[in-house]
Amino acid sequence: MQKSNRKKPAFGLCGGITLGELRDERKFDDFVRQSYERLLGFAYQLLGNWDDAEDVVQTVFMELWELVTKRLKEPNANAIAVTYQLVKRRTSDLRIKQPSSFNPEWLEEPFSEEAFGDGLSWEEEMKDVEGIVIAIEKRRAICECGNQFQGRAREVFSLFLQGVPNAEIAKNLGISAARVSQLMKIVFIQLKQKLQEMGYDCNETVNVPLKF
Amino acid sequence: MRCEDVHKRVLDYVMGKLTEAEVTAMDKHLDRCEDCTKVVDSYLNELGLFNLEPEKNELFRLMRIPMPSQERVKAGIEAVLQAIHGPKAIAEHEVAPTVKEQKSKTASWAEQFGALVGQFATYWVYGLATVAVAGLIIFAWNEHAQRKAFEHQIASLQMQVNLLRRQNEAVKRENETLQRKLEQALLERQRTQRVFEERQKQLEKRLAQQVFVLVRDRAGAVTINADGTVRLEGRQILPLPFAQQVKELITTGAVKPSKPALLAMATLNSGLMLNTLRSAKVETSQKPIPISPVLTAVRSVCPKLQWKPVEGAKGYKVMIVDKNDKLLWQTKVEAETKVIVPSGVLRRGQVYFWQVEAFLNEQSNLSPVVGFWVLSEEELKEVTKAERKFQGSALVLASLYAHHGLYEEALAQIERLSEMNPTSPFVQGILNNLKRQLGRE
Repeated sequence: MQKSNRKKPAFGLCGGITLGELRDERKFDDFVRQSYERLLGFAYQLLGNWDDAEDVVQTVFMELWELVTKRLKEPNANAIAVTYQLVKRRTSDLRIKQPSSFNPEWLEEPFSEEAFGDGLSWEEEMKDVEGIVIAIEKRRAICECGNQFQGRAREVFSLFLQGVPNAEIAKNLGISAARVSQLMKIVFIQLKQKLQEMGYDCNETVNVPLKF
Repeated sequence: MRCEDVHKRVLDYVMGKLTEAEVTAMDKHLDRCEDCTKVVDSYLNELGLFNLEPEKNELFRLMRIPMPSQERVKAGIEAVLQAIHGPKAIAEHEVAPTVKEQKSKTASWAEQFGALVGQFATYWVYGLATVAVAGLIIFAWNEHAQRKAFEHQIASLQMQVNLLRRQNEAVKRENETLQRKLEQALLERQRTQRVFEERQKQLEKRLAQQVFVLVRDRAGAVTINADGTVRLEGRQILPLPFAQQVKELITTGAVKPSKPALLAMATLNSGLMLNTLRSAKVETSQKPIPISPVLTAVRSVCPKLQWKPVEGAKGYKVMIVDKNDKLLWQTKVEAETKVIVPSGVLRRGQVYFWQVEAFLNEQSNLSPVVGFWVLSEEELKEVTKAERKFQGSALVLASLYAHHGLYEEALAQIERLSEMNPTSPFVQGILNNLKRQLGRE
């Protein structure tokens, strides 16, 4: 096990924050605000239910706060990685214990050094869900980019994100279907460009293991 | 926005490099204009292929990942934060206003004084404010009046501008019409010039074809071309019968006579008559010799008969006989060597013979018999018509006369020509030939 692996900043905005820094309340609040949405999305991908996912994420944050303030032993661990890991474990626990009977008993489980894996780096442990994490990061980035579009492209894009089919978009905006597909192409071009500017590689065709 | 502007900005539009206002303008145009959307499409096709199928496009798949709604996220974050350190924040919030209230209650005398001063100051402020408002109203009124005057001026100026513009348009229109006319005139001029040039070229071609100058005529040089056409200067090519006659006259020295002329010559038995004339001239005996008309056609029915006088003759007597030897007319004995035949004796288209008898002291000598014929009416018409046409050319007239048997008149024309072309062998040849035919060698 190498420590350098754990420190590697991997994801998004809060990739570089360590557990030790989270002892500061403000930083913890910022961390929650920044990472909540991704973690919720992640949990939803694993559970397939918004309510369960919300419960899991919220309890994980509570757990994290407790961990950071009371029994922190590895202050240099990557905060977001640990959080993802916690979410993953809790969801798997939840699935084992049947989703219908949500039992917060596992909250009492002690969080020790063993939690980081049995001699595995967090990256190795997260390997099977890495695709989901990356996909959700990209998805967030796409949402951010969507706010930068202008004019018709923005309208079309927002409707598209809501899952409206092209024909209905055309009807709603009062333009032709060909124009809608054209605008979608433009959106794709600009989106690709912006994502590349932000550091995401869009050319690879990742087979995202998405379930829902 | 026009289509051209759209075309200029398509690439920036696609790549998202325009400002918001520009993008909305582009969108407005593209929503309506199908051609421009096609242009944009072509650009997009150049940029690459797009797979909008969800299975093949990664971005598409990513976009389809469900994300929590913003309200849910906000509520969740609040719930987490409240669960962690919520009560603390509420306590802080409650404490803050109580401190402030306490402060206001225990305000010092200095602060009260300050408040009083502030009250007094407010009166001043009111006064100043009213003055300022009044000033503003006056200013606004003044401004309004000025503005009205200004607007009036602008309106009048605009009227003038409109008038000038209208005048300008009228002038422009006039200019345009003038220009159009000028252009038309120029075009016509060019056309005529082209025609003229073509003609000139044709003329030059003809000139290049011409072989030699034959004779100098009264109207100018007569030329014969390579293709056999005869040309008079200042005139176009001669019509065919005349050209042939002229050519014959020049090349052979004689013209093929017309049918009536041939007939007349046959009846006159011209060869014999010429021989007798010649022998009479050679003889020294005192015989009168007829000069004209001899072996020729005559135009009028009243021709003038002339003969050579005989020495010592007291008088002459002339007799005219028709072709059947019937005496038609005879004069009394008179001393003159010419006589005009009165009308009613001769008829058109007929052949006549005449003879002169010279009375000497004791004897009378008869001249050789000579003949002539009077032109028929039709031939006369032809001749006069052609005469009018080719008045200027002696050569053509000569050939015309020779054709119809008017040899005397032809001779006169050729004599004129010979004066003009003293060295021309053609003219001399024709002259000699005609003289021989008339028996005047």
